[in-house]
Amino acid sequence: MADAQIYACSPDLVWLQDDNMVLLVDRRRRESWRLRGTDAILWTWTALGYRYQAMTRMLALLLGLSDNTAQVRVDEAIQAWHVAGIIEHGG
Amino acid sequence: MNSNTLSSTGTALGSGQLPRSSDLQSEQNLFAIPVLNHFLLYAPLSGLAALVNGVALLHLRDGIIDGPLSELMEALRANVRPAPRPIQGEFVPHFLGLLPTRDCNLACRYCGFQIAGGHHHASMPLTLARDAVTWYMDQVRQSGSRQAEVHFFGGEAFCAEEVLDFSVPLSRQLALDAGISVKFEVATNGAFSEERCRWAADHLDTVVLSLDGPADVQDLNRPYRGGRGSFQTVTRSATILSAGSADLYLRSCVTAQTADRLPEIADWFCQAFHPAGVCFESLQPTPQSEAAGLQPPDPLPFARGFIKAARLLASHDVEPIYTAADIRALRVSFCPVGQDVAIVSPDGVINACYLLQSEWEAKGLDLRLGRMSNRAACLDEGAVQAARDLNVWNKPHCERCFCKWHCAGGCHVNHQPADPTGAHARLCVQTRIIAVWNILNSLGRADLAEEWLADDEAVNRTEARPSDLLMDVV
Amino acid sequence: MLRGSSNTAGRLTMANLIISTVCNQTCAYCFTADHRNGNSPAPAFLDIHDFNARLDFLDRSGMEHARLLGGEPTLHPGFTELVESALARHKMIVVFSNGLMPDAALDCLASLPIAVCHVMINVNAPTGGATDTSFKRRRTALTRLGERAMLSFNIDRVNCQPEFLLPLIAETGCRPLIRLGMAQPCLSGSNAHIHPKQYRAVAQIVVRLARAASSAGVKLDMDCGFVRCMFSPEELETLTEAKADVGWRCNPILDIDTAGQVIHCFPLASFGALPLAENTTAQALRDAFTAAAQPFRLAGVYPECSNCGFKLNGECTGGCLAATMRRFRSTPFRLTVPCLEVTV
Repeated sequence: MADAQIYACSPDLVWLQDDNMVLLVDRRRRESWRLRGTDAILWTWTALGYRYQAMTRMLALLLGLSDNTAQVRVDEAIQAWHVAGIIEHGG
Repeated sequence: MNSNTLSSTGTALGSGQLPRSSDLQSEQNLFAIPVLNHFLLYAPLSGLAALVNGVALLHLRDGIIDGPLSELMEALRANVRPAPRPIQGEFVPHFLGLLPTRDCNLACRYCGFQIAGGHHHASMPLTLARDAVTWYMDQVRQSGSRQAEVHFFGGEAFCAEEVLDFSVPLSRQLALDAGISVKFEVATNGAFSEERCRWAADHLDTVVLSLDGPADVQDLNRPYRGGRGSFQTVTRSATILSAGSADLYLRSCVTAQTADRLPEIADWFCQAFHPAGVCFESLQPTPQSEAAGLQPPDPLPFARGFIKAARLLASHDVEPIYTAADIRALRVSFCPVGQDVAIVSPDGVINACYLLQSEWEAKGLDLRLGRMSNRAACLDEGAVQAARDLNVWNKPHCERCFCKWHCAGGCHVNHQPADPTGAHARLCVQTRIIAVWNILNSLGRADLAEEWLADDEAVNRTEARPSDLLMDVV
Repeated sequence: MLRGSSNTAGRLTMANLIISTVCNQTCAYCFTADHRNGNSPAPAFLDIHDFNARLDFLDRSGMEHARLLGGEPTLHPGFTELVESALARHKMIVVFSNGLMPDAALDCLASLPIAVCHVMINVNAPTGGATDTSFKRRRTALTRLGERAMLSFNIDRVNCQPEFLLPLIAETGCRPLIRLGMAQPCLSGSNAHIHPKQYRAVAQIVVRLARAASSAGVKLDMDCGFVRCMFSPEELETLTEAKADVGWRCNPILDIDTAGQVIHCFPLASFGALPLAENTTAQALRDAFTAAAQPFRLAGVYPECSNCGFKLNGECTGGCLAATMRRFRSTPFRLTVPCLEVTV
């Protein structure tokens, strides 16, 4: 297994839970993102401090996916957040 | 409540024969309650009440009506709703109750759920939560209902927080797929982290938070398992929940020591938080509460304290809650039992009641409805019927009580409506007092309600009667 | 009129000049708390040189009103001089006062023609009978100002009873108009304020007052922060019948403090400030605040706001931005992602 990647929430990021949606705002860049569906669920779990493996397991159960497929979904979401600058490499 | 205020005088009475209804039920649902020098005539099924004097009452009892009494009787007999009946037919869960764990992080001094030192209760497996939620949402969809409800109980539900974190989005997803809406409610002690509290405030519709009162009360009654007070954490939670979108209901357990502090507690709740409602419940004695020296409040001080608190709460647009005396509601069962609620315990057993199995078994009751098996609920039809049979129709002591369609005889497990002498039990007395006060107020007779409530003897005359039926008036 | 005039583009052209940070009241709901507690405290009073610079700003922004705000603006020791200076620049004087004004300030305002002077007197419910000297002083000020004055009231609790305003108008002869506000939170939430969960109860107070006011020939003018959904269709109809000026607004007010810092409005003092530079116009400032707030405007005071048709079509802003922003939170989480081989 290679080294783990550690991500942290961007310090300028604030967010709220709306009906069926998570709204993220980067105060400094004045950008916003709306997360819905699986992305919103993963964001909520991440903010609650769930570990990667637990999220993968819960998502697999929730969506009726294999563990591997669920892992791909989690990885895709994290990658998209990273590309958008919502999360950053953090040590 | 739709109500009429009619005060009849003896001189206004003529004679005439009341067109007696052959419907025995109407006679069994027409009550006369002495209130100082008046009688409160109460017809819960038509939602009407009137104040009459003694002469008028006797005329009404004997069916001798004329003049204003005929108008009164006409009003009382009009728009009579059918008496509520137990559910019949197919079991369609009214809501799904999930018990994520029986574990708890507090050691409330009155709690019968207390965990023996260090014993850990298992959490509900997520696969079981998935199966229960999936089965329930399917039932709702098949029933044609557009509304689902999932309630979380404990122990302390957040001691198995992953069950909520999993069940809530799963329910939402399934509801979305089925085109129905879903609401979530949790009963909690509020002793958890800020982030967890924010989640509850944002993701749930209703949070029922147990908070007994200011620090001296809360820390005495509801300490952590290690003995440390919980006041600071729980009030922080109440503050966060106040700011969130969930409706916050505060539930305070009232002891003999706190009964006279209810207005103070209500005022503090309104000043410090934004509750939608405040529920005051009198302590249900347990071996633990007795060992801790906590006693239930006497009925009259409780009722007086509640009524003062209720006025204060209402002035802040906060709903005062004492469900048993809610005269707007007609019911056959006070609680989920008999109302086709499926409460799934951590081991997959489906019960009608969220109390501990040992509690209801000790009272000779079996409230198991079935169990989750092979991703579906296997329900025992006989058990479902037995739960439905636990209703006020089968509570003989309630038969002649004016409050029977409102309190429905109270908790099937812990409440015995009469003491060994046949007198009303403590809870019945306070419920009857509060209900009379509610009826008088809905008649617009707050003045009379105040005068009556201040008079110990008058209140005693009201509540101590073995029968409230008009036909039993002597 | 007091809400600000429109320029040719139809956009609000309004700015408040804070001339005093000193106040002789300590209202629990006062939304200046964050501004008072800011990092760089502003001078207590605006000097005449800076005041003239503010008038320059009003001129280049095309604004005809000099809106004087505090603290309590009439406590400024040179209040009369400031008023004269603004009048010399042909500004209409608008003063936001609590009514407890020094005699000199009251004399000054009472001597002005009604056409150039509006004084909005914010009153709290009287605390009790003969001992309430503050209420008596307000009554005196209102009587002397007559039609120069109108009443303002902030609903700061759900059991308030603002009906006392109606006989006060009749007794004092002030304008038959009430500016009605709802106590909004400053961003820190440290002031007493109405929570969106309480808006339904507030709506009932507003409707009750509107009915009574209509009977008394008094009109209600609702300030910013109200939301459409707090009123039922029947209640909205009642407000219309009562000719209440209803609106579901929240815009950058532009409050300019004594240090020359411009803020979106007092509740959002800690959201950020912009310096009042020599060439700055109100429109430029408003555009800057609008841009900064835009991502937050996607939400509203309720979770339902972001999907609400009235918000999406611009009829309702979704309530007070400070109340909305208080719904946001930051979560300094860390997530460790193991580099695993994934086979699908």
